[in-house]
Amino acid sequence: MLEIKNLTVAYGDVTALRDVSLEVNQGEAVVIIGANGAGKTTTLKTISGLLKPRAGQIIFKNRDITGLPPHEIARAGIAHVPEGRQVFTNLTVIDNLAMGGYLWRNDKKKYNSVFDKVLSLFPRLAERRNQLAGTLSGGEQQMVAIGRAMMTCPSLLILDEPSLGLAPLMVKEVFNYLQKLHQEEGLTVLLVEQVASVALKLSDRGYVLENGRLALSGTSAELSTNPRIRELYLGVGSS
Amino acid sequence: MMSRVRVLKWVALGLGLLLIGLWPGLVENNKFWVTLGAQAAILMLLSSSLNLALGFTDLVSMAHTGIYAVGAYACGLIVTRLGLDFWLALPLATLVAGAVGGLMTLATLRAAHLYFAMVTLSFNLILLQLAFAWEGLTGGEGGLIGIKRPALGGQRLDLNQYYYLIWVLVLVSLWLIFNLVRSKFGRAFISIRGDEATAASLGVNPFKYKLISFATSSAFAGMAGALYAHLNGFVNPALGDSSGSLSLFVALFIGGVGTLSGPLLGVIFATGIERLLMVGGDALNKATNTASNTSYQALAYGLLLILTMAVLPSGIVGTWTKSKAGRKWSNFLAQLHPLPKPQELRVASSGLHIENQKPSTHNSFTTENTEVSQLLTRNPVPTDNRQPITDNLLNVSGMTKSFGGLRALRGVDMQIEPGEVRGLIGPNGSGKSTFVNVISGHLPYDSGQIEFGGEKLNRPATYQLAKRGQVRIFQAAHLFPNLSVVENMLAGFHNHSRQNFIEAALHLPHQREEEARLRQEAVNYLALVGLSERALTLAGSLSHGQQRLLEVARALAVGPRLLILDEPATGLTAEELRGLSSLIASLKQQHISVLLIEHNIDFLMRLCDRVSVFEYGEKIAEGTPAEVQSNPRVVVAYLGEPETIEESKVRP
Amino acid sequence: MNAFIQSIISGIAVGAIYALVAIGYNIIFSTTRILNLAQGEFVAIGALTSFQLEDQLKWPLPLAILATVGVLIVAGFLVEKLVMIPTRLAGASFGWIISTVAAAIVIRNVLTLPFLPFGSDSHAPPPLIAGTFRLGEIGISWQNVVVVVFALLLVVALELFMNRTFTGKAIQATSNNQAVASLMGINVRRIITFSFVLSAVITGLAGVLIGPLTGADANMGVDLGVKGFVAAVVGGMGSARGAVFGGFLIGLLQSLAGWFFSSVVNMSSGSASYANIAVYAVLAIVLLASPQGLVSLKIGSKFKAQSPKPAAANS
Repeated sequence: MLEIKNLTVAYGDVTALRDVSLEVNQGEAVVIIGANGAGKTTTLKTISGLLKPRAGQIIFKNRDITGLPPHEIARAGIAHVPEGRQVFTNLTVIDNLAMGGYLWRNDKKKYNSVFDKVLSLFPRLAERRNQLAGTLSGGEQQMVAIGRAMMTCPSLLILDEPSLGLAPLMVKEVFNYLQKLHQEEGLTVLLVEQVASVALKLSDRGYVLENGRLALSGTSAELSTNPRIRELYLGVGSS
Repeated sequence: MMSRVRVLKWVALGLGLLLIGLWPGLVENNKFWVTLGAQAAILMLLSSSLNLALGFTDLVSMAHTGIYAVGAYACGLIVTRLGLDFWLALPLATLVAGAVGGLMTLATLRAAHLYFAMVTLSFNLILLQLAFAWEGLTGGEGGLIGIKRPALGGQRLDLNQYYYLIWVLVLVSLWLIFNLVRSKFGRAFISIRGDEATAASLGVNPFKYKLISFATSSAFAGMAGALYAHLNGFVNPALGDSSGSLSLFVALFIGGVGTLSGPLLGVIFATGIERLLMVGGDALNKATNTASNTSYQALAYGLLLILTMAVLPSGIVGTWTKSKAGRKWSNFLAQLHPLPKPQELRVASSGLHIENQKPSTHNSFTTENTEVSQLLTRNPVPTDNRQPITDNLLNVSGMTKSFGGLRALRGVDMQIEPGEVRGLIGPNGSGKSTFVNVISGHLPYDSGQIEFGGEKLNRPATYQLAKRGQVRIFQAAHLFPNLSVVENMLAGFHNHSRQNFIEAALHLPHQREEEARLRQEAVNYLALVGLSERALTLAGSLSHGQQRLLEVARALAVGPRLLILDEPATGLTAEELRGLSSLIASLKQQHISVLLIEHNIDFLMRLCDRVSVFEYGEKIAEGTPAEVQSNPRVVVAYLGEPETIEESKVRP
Repeated sequence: MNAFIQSIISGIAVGAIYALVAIGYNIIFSTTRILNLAQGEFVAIGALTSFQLEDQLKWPLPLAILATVGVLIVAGFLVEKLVMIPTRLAGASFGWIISTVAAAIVIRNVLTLPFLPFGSDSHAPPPLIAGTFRLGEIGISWQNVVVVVFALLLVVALELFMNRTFTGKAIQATSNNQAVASLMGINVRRIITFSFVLSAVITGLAGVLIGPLTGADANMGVDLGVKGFVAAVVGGMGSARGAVFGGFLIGLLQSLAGWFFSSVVNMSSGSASYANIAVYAVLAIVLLASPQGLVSLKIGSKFKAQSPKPAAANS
């Protein structure tokens, strides 16, 4: 479904991503792990068009989307849940979801059906519908962010560190939702995560980024048993 | 080598001086052109003064033309009304303008960024309207007339002599500004420009240094105005018109903001454009035989400005430094001005640093205990008058804080002993961040008490706490990305620098010695965290791990007794985590306390002596890690049921 | 007494105009975080165009206003390009100051170009509804009423637009977080262009309304632009209600201060300047006491350390 070929991205003089290739197939959940500064967020931002690559190609559903502006990539069916949630704090929960449904603004029927579906997925959001999103707790904001992304009816959901800054209990809840979306709704997911243990449990395959390069890839089972991964990202081993 | 760069510098300076000196002769003493040369000098001073506030301290002043007018009016009034001499009027007018600028800053205590621009714009409007309305003082629309050129030894200066006088005064002023920017004061300004909260956490009093920057900047702007009044012969309200500040911004923008030579080049360029347009306009008038084509001229000016912005988006200096030739040149200069070598102090060092310099992500924080200890004992802070603390280092009691209706802290107590590693955990929104922000002076609290180092502090500001040894490392890297690594390091020595304003402005020997000493210390610190090779690169281009290391080194340079670490484990690999653990252990050896806010429970529990748990703005538990982990209330509120702990652990 | 009440009436009318200009500032500020210092120029475009069409070319009033709106749409579109293209390119944080002031210079001088009909003289557009009516002792011109009613209708329509339509909400979302708005499929550049057009229309209509009261000339935008700015800031940048409140406050203050200095203090000249000083002093005081304005919406006022800047080069 998504194919990234030899992607290189730089901020001014600093090359953040060097010659990275990866792919995500229909119905898969794929995780990218790596330390801060390894290029994970850069990868996601480049996929969704927030960053322009210096070289390389991004193919989505057999269409070259390299360098398209973000709003066209969203239209093509990629929804990006950004790092740190970034809900529209000045809008209510409902209006946040409405912005996710911006693409369907001229199709009332489609909008309503998508809206009802998202609310049924996240009943907590229905309770808080008229509350300003900025006043929600971190976990609830993460649900708004995911719900908002689901409003675009994505064929590919990409998430940037959904666990960031959440308490352990909340991390579990958010990942339960993701599990549900992936397994029950059959949604294709590409995920960036620091908490490798939780992420590998959810995903089918994984990639490891180190210093902007692809260091390793494999099925999640392989990665969780790889001694190097266990030592570096799961903290198992020498200590 | 050293001499070669000196020669180059002096040659450039000499050529400039020669041009200035020969200018009246070159233009055959033509009044118009000599005046233009003098005006260029005045404009250079004015835009350099704006640059001091805007470029170096990020104070977007829209009042500089108004202050310029204040200087001009003050000087004009003093000579015409009081009959005082120019030589007395000039310093007085400079002081008046500095005072007006200082008062403005005092009044804008709470305004930041865009609001500062708005407030200064409103002051400019007020000054302008006052000049119109207060006819008794200012002469209203007609202004003050009859301001003669100054006299020297009873002899009134002619235009050429005054031209030279202006240049001498302007060059001296520019020299003072250059010195200031390259001193402790300049570093404080630039820190504030980078990020005010970070500057404060390094011990810089943001308000004080903004005040110094803006008052100094205003004084020079006023001096420029006073010089102009005597060149022009009269002063009227048009001088302070805020639309006049456009050409000022333009000169600064075209030259390059926040660079020393930018405003000078910008003025030459902007004056050139205006002249060309005038010449072009005159030619057009002749060709079309119309009396005036002012609107075409102004239109062309506006369009040219917009075009220049598109062509030179980072100004002349910025475009040059980004170009290949410019980079080569600055590399060349860097070679000629090498940093001092780090002093040998790795007596028992294991050579770990060599490994550290490999550009790999998982090696930060792998500094060995011995080295960190050396670093800390070598601390240039002569841990001066600090009493050794036997009691609690930090004693917080009854801390409350509400945001609107939300009670974020409901009477929290906390005591931290010297050398204690304290963990702070709790669900999101439990008040951890608020607590840390409150005790580090980043947020005001509603009620409660803070004692630090045995001293009762009444609503201490961040910089005051930093001075006393409470240093915070933020969650996201708070370096100054556009400064070099060594400059970032130097910013950490703010508290240890004793130079005063006069010493800095005049570049006195005492100040020079201190600068050399601080540079040496900075290099030593960098060597200890394995960053000496990168000393001259921009901090923003370091890898994430190196950035965290630099931040730790800078925090240690401040001289901490309590180090507050906000989620330091986020994004670190297991290996880096071990490095961080050993760093914290060696801080403890040095009796430096650590307050650790962390979601990585495993990491936290291993390190901490005691752990405090927050929920809904209250401390619900406190004790050793074992006690806390078995506390049923904590399990319910935060950790989750025993079987879920396994999963929720960040790195089991 | 009569003079006092008259000054209140004219204060309210002028205040309504300031409110519209202030709203114009707000709309552009919310999507771009810049103060469009060429905002006042839209007033001049609106006033001069409608005067030309209605009075000189004798178009029927509704058609003239409609055509003026058309001209304002084009003006808003062009000014957006003129301002935003160099501002985006500029490396310095204050690039917008130069580009917006340069745009103001360009507009002012385009308006006085010899081949355009406006020149640099002041014109006197006729009132939209002529005549006065009496309320007891006091004569009130219908134009004053038209100004206030029309301005308030515009404000209400704008509020409905902002809160009831997708485009209005998209403007709010863009104001909150441009990058994330674009992830929702919102074309942020188009929203910004649209915000300039909307702002130009509203501010330009303020010119159509004020022209008959003050006259119309190419430089009329300078003073109105500054006053509208003061109203926007006093009310609180980003808040429409604040803009209305600030507009009436500043209008009344200026008008009453003018009355005070001329009638009570009996100043022969300079009363207008002192009235202006009063206005700017209020601005300074409000900014000092509450930098977010009196009707605070707290844009970007969150504590820095809690919401660190998104580090560009982060992972």
